[in-house]
Amino acid sequence: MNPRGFGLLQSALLIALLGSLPGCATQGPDPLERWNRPIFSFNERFDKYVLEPAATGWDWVLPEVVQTGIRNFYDNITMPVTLANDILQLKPRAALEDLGRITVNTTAGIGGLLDVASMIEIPENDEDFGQTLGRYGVPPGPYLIIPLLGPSTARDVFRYPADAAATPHNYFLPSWASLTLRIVENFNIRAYYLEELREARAAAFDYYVFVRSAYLEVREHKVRDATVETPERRDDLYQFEDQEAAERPSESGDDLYDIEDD
Amino acid sequence: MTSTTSKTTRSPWLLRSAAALLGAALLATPGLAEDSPDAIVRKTVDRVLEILASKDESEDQRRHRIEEIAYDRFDFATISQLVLARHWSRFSPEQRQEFVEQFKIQLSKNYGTRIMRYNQQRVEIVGQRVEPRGDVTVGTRIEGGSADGVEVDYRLRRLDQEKDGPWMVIDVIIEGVSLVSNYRSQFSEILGRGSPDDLLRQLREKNAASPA
Repeated sequence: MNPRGFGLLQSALLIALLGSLPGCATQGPDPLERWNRPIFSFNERFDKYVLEPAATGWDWVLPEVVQTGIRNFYDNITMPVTLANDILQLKPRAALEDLGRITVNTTAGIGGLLDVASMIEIPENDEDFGQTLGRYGVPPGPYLIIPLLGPSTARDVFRYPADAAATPHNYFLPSWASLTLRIVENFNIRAYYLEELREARAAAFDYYVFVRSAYLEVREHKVRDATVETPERRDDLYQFEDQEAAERPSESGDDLYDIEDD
Repeated sequence: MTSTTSKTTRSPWLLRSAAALLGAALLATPGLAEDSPDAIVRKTVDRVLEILASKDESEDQRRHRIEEIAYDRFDFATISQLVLARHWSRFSPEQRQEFVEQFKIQLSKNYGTRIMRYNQQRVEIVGQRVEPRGDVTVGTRIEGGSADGVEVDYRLRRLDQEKDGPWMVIDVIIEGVSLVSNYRSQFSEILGRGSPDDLLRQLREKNAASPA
C-alpha cells in the first residue's frame, strides 16, 4: 500500500470527524445527536407498538384504585433509593421525612398500597444518584438516549447501577421477580400518562428536541432543588439578541441603561 | 380516569355565594390601580379556576373565555421575540407579525386543551423573585388533583418596558421547564435548516390540524 493511499484514508477519517464537529459546536448539550436520534425513534416505535397499546389495555382493565395502589406500592419499595441519596447529599431533614414515609406507608399504608404519608402531609422528596453526583459538581455531560430506558446524560446513567444497589428487594427477590415488578410499574406509569404523552407528541414541532430540552431542564432544576427563591441562572434567555439593538438607529448602546438612569 | 365529579356538585349555593363574595371583594378594591405581579397572577389564576369549575357552560365556551384571559395577560410579541431569539432578525416585519399571530393561536390551542383537565385543584402563590433586569417571577404550586405539588412559575415584564406599563406574562416555567426555552430549541432546530417561511408553514399546518 502506498503512503498516498494511507493519507487518503486518514484525510477521509479527518473529514468525517470534522464533519461531526460543527454538530458538536452548535448543538452544545447534544454532541451525540446522530447516535441518539435513531435510538430515540426506536424507543418511540417500541412505545407505539408495545408500551402504549399495553398501557391502554391496562388502563381499560384495571380500576383507578388498583393503578394508584400499584403506583404507591412501587413508590414505597423504591423509597430507600431516595433515602440513600438524601443521606449521600447530607440532607438530614429530607432523610427523616423519607424514613417517616417508608415507616408510615409500610405499616399504616398496608405494605405501601396506601399513601398515608401524603394524607398526613409528610413531604415527599425526589432524589437519585444522578442528582447526588450533580450536587457534588459533576456536570451532566452529553445527552444520551438509552435503548428502552429513554433520555439520560453521561452523568445520569450512573443512577441505574447505583440506585439498583440501594433498592432492598433486589437483594432478596430473584432477578426475574425484580424485573417483573419493574415491567408492571412501567405499564402502570405509562397508563397514567396516556393522554399527556399523546398531547405532547401532537403539540411538538420536533419531539426529539422537545424531550431533550425538557429532560435537561428538569434534571438541572432537580439537582439545584430550585425554588422561586433560587436565583435564575438562565437570565440571558430573557434578553433580546444583539441584532435587535443593532437595528435601532445609532443611539449607541446608551439606551440599554435607560432604566437605571431614571 | 376522571370519575371524581361527585364532590364538586355538593352545594352550588355555597359556591355561588363564595363567588359573589369574591366578586364583591374585587369590586371593592378598584383603587389598586397598580397591580403587583403576584396580585395579577393570583387574580388571573383565580379567574381561570373559576371558569374551569363552572358547570353551566360548554367546554368550548369555557375554553374561549380562558383564551381571552390569556390574550389579556400574555405579551405574545415579547414571547415570540424571545422564542425566535437570534433568528428574529431573519424575519421580515410581515413575517414577524404573522409569527406572533400564529404562535399565539398555537399556544392557546396547546395549553387550552391541557388546562381543561385540571379542574379540581387549588393554586397557591409560593413566593416571588425580582430578576436582575427588573422582570419578576411569581412562583405558584398546584394543590390537589392529578397535578398535585407541581410548581408553575410565571415570569412577568412590564409591557413595552414602559415605566407604568402593566405587568404581562412572558414565560411559564413548569417544574423548571421553560416554555420559551423549549420552543426556542425546537424552532432553532427548524430554522437551522430552513427559512422563516418553512417555520411559518409548519405553524400554520399545526394550527389547522389541532382540534377546536
